[in-house]
Amino acid sequence: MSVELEGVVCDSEAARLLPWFVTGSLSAADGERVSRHLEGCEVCRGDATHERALRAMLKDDGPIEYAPQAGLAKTLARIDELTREAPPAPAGVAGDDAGPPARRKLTATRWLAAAVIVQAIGLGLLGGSLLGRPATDRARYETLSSPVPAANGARIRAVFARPMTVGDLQTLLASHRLQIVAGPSAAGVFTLGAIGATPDRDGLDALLASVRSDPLVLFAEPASGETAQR
Amino acid sequence: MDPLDNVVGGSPLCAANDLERELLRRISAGDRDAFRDLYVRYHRRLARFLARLTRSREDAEEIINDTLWIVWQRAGDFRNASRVSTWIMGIAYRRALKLIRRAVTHARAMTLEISDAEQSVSDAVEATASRQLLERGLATLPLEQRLVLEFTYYLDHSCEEIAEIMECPVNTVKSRMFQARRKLRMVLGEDAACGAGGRRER
Ligand SMILES: [Zn+2]
Repeated sequence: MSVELEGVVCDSEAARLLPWFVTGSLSAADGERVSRHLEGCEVCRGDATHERALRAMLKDDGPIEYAPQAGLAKTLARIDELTREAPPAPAGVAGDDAGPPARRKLTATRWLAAAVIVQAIGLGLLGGSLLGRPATDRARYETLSSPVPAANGARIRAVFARPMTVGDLQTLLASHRLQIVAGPSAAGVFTLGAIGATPDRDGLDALLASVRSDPLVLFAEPASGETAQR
Repeated sequence: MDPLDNVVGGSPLCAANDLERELLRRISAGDRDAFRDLYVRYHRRLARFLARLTRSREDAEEIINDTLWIVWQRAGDFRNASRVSTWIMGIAYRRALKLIRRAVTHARAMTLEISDAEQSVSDAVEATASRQLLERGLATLPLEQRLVLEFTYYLDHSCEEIAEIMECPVNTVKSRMFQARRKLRMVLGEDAACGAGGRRER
């Protein structure tokens, strides 16, 4: 007898709407309609309970963490590459099916340095130590560090995109001419200070922009907290 | 944060959409901070269900990265008629289809075997047995039906939004869902053990 019940299927329109009734995403009118149907349909009442349980199971993410940092760094590096190539980007580079070619209105200067840093060390850092890389890369890295404006005395608070070895960290800091003043805090926040010449407001902004554009930096803000509250 | 409390049309989702719309606006102006925020938000939403779908964390990552990469480039094309999540999910859907339909991945997604990686990461869960059963059940569904199920129950999209994401008539969505539920019920049968004691007796 219960086997027969299993075979019973309610084929009313309300039964077809049941999943979205369960999630609460029906229009008021449809919601009302299903509600009324449920009062008189035992099959659908049973189904609704079952669907709620199924939804709870699909919703239950379990203990697994999917950390976004690596993918974010990779995508940002790709963005840097796109920006460096030539805004606007060539059509079809995105690989999506429709729509006009991408158009970016970035100022080339703002991202140029970052893009070259990525090319020189960013990908290398992801794979291993800079010290092991060919001399040409090192040379490029050294010339890169020089135009970064120094902002001595200014402080930046930053969180890095992933755990790093001391060597990686030193390399990253050197590329932005920064040093650790304090940290990391329990939340993983480093306080960084600039090495070298005198600070000014523009210098700090440029330094921040450069740090933020580094794929290994998850976020950065002035330690004073006056801008870029995140 | 109980996901069941997220009622579509309620204020939490509206607020989320406003926030994401603002992020898109900033992204279209080249704001990388906004991009980071959006990336992290969508990584959280997409990673689990894409990993479940493709049985591969690498594939899931690839789809997410491609999707957000396209979002970076097309943020200015977003039309306010849709929810931001519907728009982004449509992009993710097309990326996922492309990748899943590559033969190798397709074979893996359709196989009834739970991969070693999947097995080891879910070992800790008490509900492992019923979850694995569910995964096996899901794996027997045609891709389109499975996606409708995930879009509805995991991502909380309405029937109309799913039609927009999958670029098909609303009726098709309803039919796919109906068939998916029927088939799941048949496959899972008595052992469905859907946690909350909601399964019907045979
Ligand atoms: Zn009914």
